[in-house]
Amino acid sequence: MVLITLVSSDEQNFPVERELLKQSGTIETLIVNMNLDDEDTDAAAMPIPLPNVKGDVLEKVIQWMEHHKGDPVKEGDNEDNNAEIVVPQWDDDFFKPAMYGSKHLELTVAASYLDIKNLLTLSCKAISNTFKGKTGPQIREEWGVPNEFTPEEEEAIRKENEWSE
Amino acid sequence: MTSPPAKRCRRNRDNTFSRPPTIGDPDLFSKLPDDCLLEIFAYLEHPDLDAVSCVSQRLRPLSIRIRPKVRSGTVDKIRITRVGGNCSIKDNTSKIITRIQCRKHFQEHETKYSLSMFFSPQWITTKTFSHEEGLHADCEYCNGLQQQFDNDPSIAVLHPLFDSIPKAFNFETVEFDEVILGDLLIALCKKYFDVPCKRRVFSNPEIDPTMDRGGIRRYNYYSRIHEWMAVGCSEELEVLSDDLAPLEPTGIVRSVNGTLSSLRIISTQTPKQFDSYARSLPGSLSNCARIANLELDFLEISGAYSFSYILERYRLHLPGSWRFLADAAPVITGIFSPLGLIISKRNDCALELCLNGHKEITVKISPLDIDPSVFSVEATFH
Repeated sequence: MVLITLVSSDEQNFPVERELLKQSGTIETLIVNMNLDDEDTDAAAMPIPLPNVKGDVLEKVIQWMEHHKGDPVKEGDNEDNNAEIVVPQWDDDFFKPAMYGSKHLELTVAASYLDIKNLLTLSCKAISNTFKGKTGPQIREEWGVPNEFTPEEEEAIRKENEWSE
Repeated sequence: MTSPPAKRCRRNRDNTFSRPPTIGDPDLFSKLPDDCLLEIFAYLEHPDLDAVSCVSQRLRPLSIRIRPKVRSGTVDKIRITRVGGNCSIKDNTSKIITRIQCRKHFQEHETKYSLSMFFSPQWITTKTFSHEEGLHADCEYCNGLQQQFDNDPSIAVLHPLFDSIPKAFNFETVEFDEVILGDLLIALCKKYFDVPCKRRVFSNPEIDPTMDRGGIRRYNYYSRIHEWMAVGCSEELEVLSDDLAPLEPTGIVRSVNGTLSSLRIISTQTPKQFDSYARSLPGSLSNCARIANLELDFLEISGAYSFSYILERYRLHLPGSWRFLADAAPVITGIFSPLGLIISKRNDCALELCLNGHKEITVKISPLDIDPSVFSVEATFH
């Protein structure tokens, strides 16, 4: 089993099965560019640095990839019907402890950065599920977003959206 | 050691540098890359996107950007039918209520929306209006839409809530299967109007000309009639509006300058041209007709609140037509012309009959004392 070492922004090393990394478009590109798949190359001696991903987030990403090992990898733009995407129970439980916190968002950014389409889709879907039926102030409160609008601006937006209420 | 490209620092106006968002910052949500936010918002429906638009300045434009856009392309079939339950429009908030209903209608993913513009089916060579779900994915946001029908004559439907006509659709067939009434304001496009045909233009969705004009209901509801709707018409033009006050008959008349043989404008409220006539201001319909140098075979202008002006002020005499007006209910005004008899009744209710129609009509006409050129009419229908 070929192991490739990923290095997080806080210098933590994560040896990961080569097969798992096929889920990440970014890492896959790097592996190809670095010729890590060549038999002559000592992959273990060439760690891949990921300066935009912290160790604890990378650990979660690897955990997710291990669970989804063997899943078909999406290619190209997402053409699925968004309304039909359902977050599987395992993934829901995976995201839930971090929900409404920075960890979940970090995971989402990491999925985007590492180009792990399935993780990005499920993560974003899970986040979007928390928005449903909420008002703007409720979303703001839950996600800790400061209110930047003046009362006049809020009123203008409310009027603009009035006919959809 | 090779690494993926890191994000560059951005130079600010004051020549300082701001670090790109790093995972783990407070309020990370607002600092998520646009791609991530758009991915998240892609799973939201319009009401939730409205909520997102209220969250922050950063999220607002993204929540607007992610909304589904009308895509141009070819659709095999369009089906447009009446939206149910849209008649309960209230006075001052009518527009809002209508939009709400319309919006809800789309939220429920129903396959129907309605037109405010009505065209008599016999003017359309194909059989029925129809509409295909998905065609107006964001119609409720009214960013302007033109649907072009591959019809003979070619017609198109646009969303007149907005004046712009940004997108076009091509349809292989158009079906008209029922009277098009409702709360979405859609007009047939220039392409259709460019054919020299008999034409009837309605500005208010609540006016249903197929109900013998006995069912005209008045709401404080305004749909614009565009001048181009009359362009190219060289035969009969009929303009019906619940409220002609915001309408510009002058523009309509000018748009058919020199080509029109017949013009009929019907409203349940006073066109402002009558008001201006009463105040001896320029812009009255008589002035309008003079300016446009119209030579009509017949002209009818009627409105529930305009008759006093007609009786007292209106003195247009047109070759090839008679005009008779009465102050006795139910018949108020009408036109008797070689083309047929047209009578209109008071109080939001009008009736049109043609002598060459299938109904048997007994008509009694007698001059009024106030003006021998004005007649009262009694009609019995069998």
